Amino acid sequence: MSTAAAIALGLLVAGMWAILCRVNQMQRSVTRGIVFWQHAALGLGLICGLVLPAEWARVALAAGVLLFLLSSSARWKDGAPAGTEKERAQ
Amino acid sequence: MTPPEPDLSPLSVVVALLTLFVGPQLAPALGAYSLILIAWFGGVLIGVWRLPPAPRGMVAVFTVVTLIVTLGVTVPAADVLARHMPVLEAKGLLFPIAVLIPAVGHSWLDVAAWVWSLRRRFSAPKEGEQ
Repeated sequence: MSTAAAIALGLLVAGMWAILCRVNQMQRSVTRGIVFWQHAALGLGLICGLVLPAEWARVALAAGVLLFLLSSSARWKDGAPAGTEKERAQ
Repeated sequence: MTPPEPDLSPLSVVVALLTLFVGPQLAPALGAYSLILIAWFGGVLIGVWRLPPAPRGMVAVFTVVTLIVTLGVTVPAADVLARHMPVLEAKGLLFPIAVLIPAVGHSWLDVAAWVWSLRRRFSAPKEGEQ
């Protein structure tokens, strides 16, 4: 296994783990479904990036990122959403 | 003579993609396990979503246990189901079984208890029977 492939493997597994940790923090009765599906799309892009051959892995990763961004586009339609502002001095 | 209909099952698509890169000898085996891994991760996401928020260690254990069970059980389970229900094809069952195992996750004990209660209900002698 080349160095780049080993680094990619580590990064992809770390990304999948980060997504699992976020999904673990979500609560079915509280969290909106779109937030789950957004992370699921990104996670599936990562696992496909891990197991598919190189060129299709790139396609899967790009698709996962694009779906993640598209599914949150409504929040960004009228400007930056709540929680992204800098804290202002009182 | 009409040409045969193309097989568009997820496994066939993954195998066709892999054949382009790894050759026809390895592609079917790699294709099946690639598909199982992709389905497993989809199922793990659903399984963790269904769990109440838990410590990270528990999520890690859940992930590893479901990975081992999914890799070990999916292919034999698909074969057994296809043998008992000839309408189903083993290859087509790999994806749904590999999703289902981690997605049901912690509820497998409830499923087992429900199956056990059904079994007891049907095997118990009815009133008036000896």
